[in-house]
Amino acid sequence: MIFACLIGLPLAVAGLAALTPLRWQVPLAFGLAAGVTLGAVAGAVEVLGAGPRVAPMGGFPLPLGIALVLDGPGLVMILMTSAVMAATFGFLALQPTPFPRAGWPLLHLVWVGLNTLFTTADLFNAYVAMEVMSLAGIALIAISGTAKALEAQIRYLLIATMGALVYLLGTALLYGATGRLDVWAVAQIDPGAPALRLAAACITLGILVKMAAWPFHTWLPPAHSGAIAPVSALLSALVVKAPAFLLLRFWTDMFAPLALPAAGTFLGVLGTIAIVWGSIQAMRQDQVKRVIAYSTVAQLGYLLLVIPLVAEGGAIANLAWQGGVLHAITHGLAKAGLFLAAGSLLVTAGGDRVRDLIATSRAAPLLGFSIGLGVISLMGLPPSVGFVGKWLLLRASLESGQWWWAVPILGGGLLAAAYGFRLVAVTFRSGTARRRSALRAANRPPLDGLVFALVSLPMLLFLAAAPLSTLIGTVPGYGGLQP
Amino acid sequence: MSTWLLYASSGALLVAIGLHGLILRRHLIRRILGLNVLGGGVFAIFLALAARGDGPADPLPHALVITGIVVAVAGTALALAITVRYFEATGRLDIDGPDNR
Repeated sequence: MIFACLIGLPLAVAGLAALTPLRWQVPLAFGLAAGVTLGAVAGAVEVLGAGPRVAPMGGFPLPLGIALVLDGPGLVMILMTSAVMAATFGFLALQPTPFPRAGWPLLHLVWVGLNTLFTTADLFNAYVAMEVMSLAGIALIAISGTAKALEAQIRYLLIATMGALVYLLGTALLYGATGRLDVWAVAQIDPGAPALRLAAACITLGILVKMAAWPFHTWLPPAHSGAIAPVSALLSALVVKAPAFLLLRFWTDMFAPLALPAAGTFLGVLGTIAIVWGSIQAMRQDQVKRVIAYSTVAQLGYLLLVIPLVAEGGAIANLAWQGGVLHAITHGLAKAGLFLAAGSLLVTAGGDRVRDLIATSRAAPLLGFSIGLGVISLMGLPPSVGFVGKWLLLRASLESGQWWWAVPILGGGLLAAAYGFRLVAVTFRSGTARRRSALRAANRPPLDGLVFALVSLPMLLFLAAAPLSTLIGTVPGYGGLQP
Repeated sequence: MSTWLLYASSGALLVAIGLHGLILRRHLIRRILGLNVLGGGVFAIFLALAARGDGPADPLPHALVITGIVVAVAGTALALAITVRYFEATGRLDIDGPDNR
């Protein structure tokens, strides 16, 4: 029943939205958001009461059935997704330029893929979900209609599909070795088997491409900055996050025996380079949305850093796992909020450069403040729940003796301050008197409260950090579940 | 040479050809074709892994490959649709022009 709300409902609404006229789309979308949120809350209540469980789709037992898991980390990610989706729907409903009818079913299909990826424990099911999510997400980029967006879109499509096929090759090799597709099949074979190592390499490579990990990140900034603001929010906060979350699950569960020392460290180094390189590029960008897009490259690096820490096992793995999930939800909420706030300000300012933001905080103080709150979350400062995430990662790093990861964990926060406060500072510059009056006179859509509510969520979650970490649970990957 | 090895090695060859087309060619249609050849190679390898000695082959990979083909068709359709719009907007059929930094 819960999975009918989480996966079946978005799929059904996507079909319905494709058949209904434009005036129905907003009520349908909000009905969907309410349904998925209710399902996720019911799931969270069940997990807190009765513990996580494996739920084969349609009741067909494994290995024939498709394994879905109802567990805390997946539900936390789904609840974060619901918040971002609801804010996106609100933004689309309130913005003055109409969103095309064809876009709505695509939004719902992205959601189907996301919720499946957050709950699946089946390698082939994950492939299909990734493709549903990517193809629908890529199609949404076209709405902005510029030649640049089309170019970014096709580049994204070619690279993402190549990544998916490499992932599928890994799945095929694993199936050849075990005859099963669920994540628990790997335990049957010797961790030293060459087929397993090759399969792990293909699966990891495919997902690294999909999540835009360095050095496969070059498609991300043009694609995420070329779309309209609400689509950018979705792509940057969620569509690259879901494959990253899946990779984290795989490497902390089924590939865990392979992780130390070489593979985990290698992924951690990729993450570190992503943090440094993405942040430096973010500082150098001229366009506001490219700054935020490069910040996504940097922030996803943290999820790769978690892998070598979780590989330590024991109490350290628990800390790193909780830190990683908390970081993922903070980044999702803050990044979506930043894209929506920047998009809204740039409409007012009439441009897309950083300097076009000059004096916008005077016209829209709440949006300027929202950008500030978003940057605080990205830096991992209190009172954002991102602080708890970074603190747990830092503790895991120091207590495991892999102290060197503390450098990117802390340094990434400083780098985020450097590129983030550049945006905040420019909105508070006074500008000329003529510009200020023009900005005040500009016709602005009533989006400030919505964006502010979204970026405030990490601050509210800080107060709920204890129940949140109970829900996430301490066992990495699939929470130690068995089919 | 056993049959499954023939399938698997021709699949690997197709993967190599597909990757070559996808990465080294500039023309968009060639790249999309490269993607399809790559997909065909992966599917061939998957089917080769379904072989079970002399007995009948494992049927599940066939079902999975059909799903994979459906996904590949959808992806190709989207790629071609975007290519058409890109060509109408710019008159170009490659994405490695001088001004795409």
